Amino acid sequence: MTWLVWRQHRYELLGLALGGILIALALVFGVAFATATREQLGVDRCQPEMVPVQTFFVVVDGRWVLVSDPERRLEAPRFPSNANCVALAVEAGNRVQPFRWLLVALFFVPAFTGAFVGGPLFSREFERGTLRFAWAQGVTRMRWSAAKLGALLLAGLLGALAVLLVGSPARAINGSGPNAYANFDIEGPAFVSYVLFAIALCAFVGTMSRRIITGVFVGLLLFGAARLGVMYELRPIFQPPVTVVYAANEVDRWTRFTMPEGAWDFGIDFVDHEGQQVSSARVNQVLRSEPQSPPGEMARDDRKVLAANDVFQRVRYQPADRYDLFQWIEATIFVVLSGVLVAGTLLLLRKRDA
Amino acid sequence: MYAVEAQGLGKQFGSFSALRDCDLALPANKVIGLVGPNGAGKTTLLQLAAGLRYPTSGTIAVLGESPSANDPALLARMSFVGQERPLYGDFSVADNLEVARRLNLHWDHAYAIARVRRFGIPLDAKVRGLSTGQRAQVALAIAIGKRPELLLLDEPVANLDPLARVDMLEELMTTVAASGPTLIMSANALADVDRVCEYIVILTSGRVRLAGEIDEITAGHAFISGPRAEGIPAGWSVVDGREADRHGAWVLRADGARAPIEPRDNGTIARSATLEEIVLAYLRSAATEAGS
Repeated sequence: MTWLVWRQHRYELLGLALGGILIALALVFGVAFATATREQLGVDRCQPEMVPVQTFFVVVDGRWVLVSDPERRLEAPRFPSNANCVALAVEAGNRVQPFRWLLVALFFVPAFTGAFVGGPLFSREFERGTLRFAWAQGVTRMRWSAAKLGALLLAGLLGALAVLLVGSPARAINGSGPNAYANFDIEGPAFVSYVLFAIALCAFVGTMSRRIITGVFVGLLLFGAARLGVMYELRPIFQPPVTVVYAANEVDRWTRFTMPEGAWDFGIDFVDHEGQQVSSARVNQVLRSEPQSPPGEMARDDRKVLAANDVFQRVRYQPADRYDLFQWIEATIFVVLSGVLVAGTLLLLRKRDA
Repeated sequence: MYAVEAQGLGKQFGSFSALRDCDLALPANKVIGLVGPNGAGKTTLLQLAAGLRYPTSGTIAVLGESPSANDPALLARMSFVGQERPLYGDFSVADNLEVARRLNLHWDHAYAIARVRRFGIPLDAKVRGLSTGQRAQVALAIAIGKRPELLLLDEPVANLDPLARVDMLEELMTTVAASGPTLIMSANALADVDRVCEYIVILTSGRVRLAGEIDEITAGHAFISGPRAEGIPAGWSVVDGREADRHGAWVLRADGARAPIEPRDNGTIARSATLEEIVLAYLRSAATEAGS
């Protein structure tokens, strides 16, 4: 079987393994290039520039006078502005743009790999009738299908592992700071599991339908649905998010919450004292119905107004130190699903008519 | 041991019965022809025997074992070539032979190569580029190269021109005579079967109408034509007949020990029926049955 699998699928096998290695090399080069670019431009050493303001007060004859001085003829006070640093960061970003696109593309790599490698794996045999040739030789269906699927999964694993090895340093290309969650889908064990899952899923759909086009496109669609489903519905609750509610007695307009570094921020919403979510329509209604402060007084404190009506602001997030755990949970989900699909594919091929 | 033995064998495709209540005991070491119109179930029967499809009812045994078990030992003892002569189209001829060499327990590589060469087929040509006849020969070389005990061929001469048809059949018979596997082949055209087979199975709409040695079948059937008033001789029953006003022609089957048919003096013709007449009679009677 080894010879046949190699003869029949050498381009897919090489494509999977070498493709992964090429992407990994490109990422390594991208990281080096991005680091060098930032160094050369001095992005990380950049100090905010002290910029003269154009409109300011001066004391003339003991009175404050507003001065507008676009030509900068006066000695204007200076304020720090990081516009120069932002410009440098943007320039650095522009120079590494091709590698940023590579990271974006990496998001879609498992899906298309699975669709075009896994989708036709068995469906093409059905369509061309070649499995009636293979199965009329002295090889059992189980051995035949396990060898084919196993070889492609192994090649996919090798390619994905190559990407995994350089995965997290590749965050430097985006320069997106310490937030790992932004790159969740393109690195770590999760990325490897997506590649395996995509191949297994599309192979299964192709076997089920016996049509290449269904294996490829329905497989792609289902893969997208499964990925997005886990990404949006399950991943946020792999562990209960850390929740901060501004309690009634301690809130005022000055209370500030600082999001811990590298956390996955779910944003702000509203709850009542039991922790039940309050709709934004209700929030708006409360804010509209309560009277505004009289003119001349300090504006009312909306937080206090809401708290008086049993509405409290809530902040939820997943802390940075759960990142690895989440990667492994997600990888486990997709590896288990892949296992089920592989078993299903082998069983279908064993039980069904050629 | 029978080459193929079926009991109550049936195969449904959705609501369509491709094969039903099929009882067969096909002897080993014979050349056996499956005859019937398109859709009669010939291909289904062969694919069931080859283990490519699974029965929905009844059982089938090939060389004494169940093909559904997908046992490599049984796979090694039989060869199957489908109607479309499946091969890896984007492989060269040599690579297709190599696949067979690597996947089979027994494999006569020298023979397969020699056979392909004998038909002037270049080994390095892609199978996709071969003519229908060449492709059929490659598929057959692989099937015979396995040195099987049972050779299952679905329409081996379909889509071949008349000359290639005759060549192929003669060549096939030489091979079978030399190496001696049981050969079961299906055919649309009776002439192909008549020329080479010793045993025949007539299938229509998924049912076995008749199965037996060709010699015994022809001996057990008769053809008469004459006045209807004469009636059918005792000890015979009508398979199918054509009747006009007062005359008719019938193919008859002997009931049990066959009574001799005497030529009569009133212009009646009575003789043993040809295989073609018998087959056509069964096909026609099945068609009438289905139509009524």
